[in-house]
Amino acid sequence: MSSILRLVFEGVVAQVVSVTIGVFAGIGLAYMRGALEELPGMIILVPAFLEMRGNISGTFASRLGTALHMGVVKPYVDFKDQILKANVLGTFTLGIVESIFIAFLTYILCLLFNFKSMGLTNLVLLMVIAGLLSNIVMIFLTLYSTMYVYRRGLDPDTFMGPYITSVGDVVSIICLFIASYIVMVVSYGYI
Amino acid sequence: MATYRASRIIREGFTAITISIVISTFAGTILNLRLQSLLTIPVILILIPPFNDMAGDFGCIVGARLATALHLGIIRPRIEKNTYLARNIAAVIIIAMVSSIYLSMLVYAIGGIIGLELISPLSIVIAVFLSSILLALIIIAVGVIVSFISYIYNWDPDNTTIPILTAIGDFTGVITLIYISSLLHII
Repeated sequence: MSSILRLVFEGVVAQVVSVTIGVFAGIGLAYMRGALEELPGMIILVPAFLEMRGNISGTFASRLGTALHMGVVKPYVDFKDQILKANVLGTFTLGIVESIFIAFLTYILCLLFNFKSMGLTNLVLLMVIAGLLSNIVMIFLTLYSTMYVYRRGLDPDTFMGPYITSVGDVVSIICLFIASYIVMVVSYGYI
Repeated sequence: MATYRASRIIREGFTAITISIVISTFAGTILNLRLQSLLTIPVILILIPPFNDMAGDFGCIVGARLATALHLGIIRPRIEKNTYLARNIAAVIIIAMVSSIYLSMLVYAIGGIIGLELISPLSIVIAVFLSSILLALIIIAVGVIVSFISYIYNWDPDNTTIPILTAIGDFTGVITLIYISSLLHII
């Protein structure tokens, strides 16, 4: 019985933290209403981009959790470690490839459903900038915080998923925000 | 035994994440159809990331625990009476109830503070509570199926379960949230 109480307690604590952070992503989204109107089609890629970010960081943290539990990785960041190197390289490549994929998919959906869109070039530009920025921030954040959580004697499997997906949302929204301004300046010549 | 090579991470991750992205863009399509109401009633817009977070968190908790339990041999990949599994399911549903009430109160409070157009707090609570319990049930069911299948086919469930669960969470989450909000005449 104690294990279920522990899971509920850890889960609720993690949820409260993640939902609170998520509300900030939501406020960011609410403040992005201008960009959402100026760059038609952008709302279509928002869930996909947040989803991709959460997945890539979530699976990264989940693999680190399993590796730590099995003892094949030491709970310290060492970039010479082959397992960590493979994980970072795989995570980075996935982030860029999937960002470009989202741009193409959004373009196709806009054509299919006859939605107004900002055009393929703008979509790819938006996703590449947002993907690069969020990749850099999220890889370091995931790596260092998973190791830290494990060193503190907590289970990364319970803590990292909720934490990393919600922090990832805020980071992604900020990166999308920055990227959307760059696209508006480059393509429309104004903010 | 999990092995870690960049190529394997990219290959297995790519398939699962691409599927999840495709599902998520349909959530985006639904949002695009309701864009005008979302821009006028931003409370629902604020609810979307934390609500999807909650859905994703259920997916991560369920997925990561199933993956570790399968790797460690605590559960076997078949449907049978299992105390470990039953306890985890009960726990996730309780977590869903508690956190949905917290989320609705938080959004209402913050919406008030930053001066956004507000709607009845009771309708936010009902919409979020109903959608999140339904979500938790769907995610548990899909999580068990996906992790068992990937384990049987020798794919690391750590790489496959979470992307699929969070995407289904996003899609179902957006649909239930928008649908119930429409039913309650919020948007």
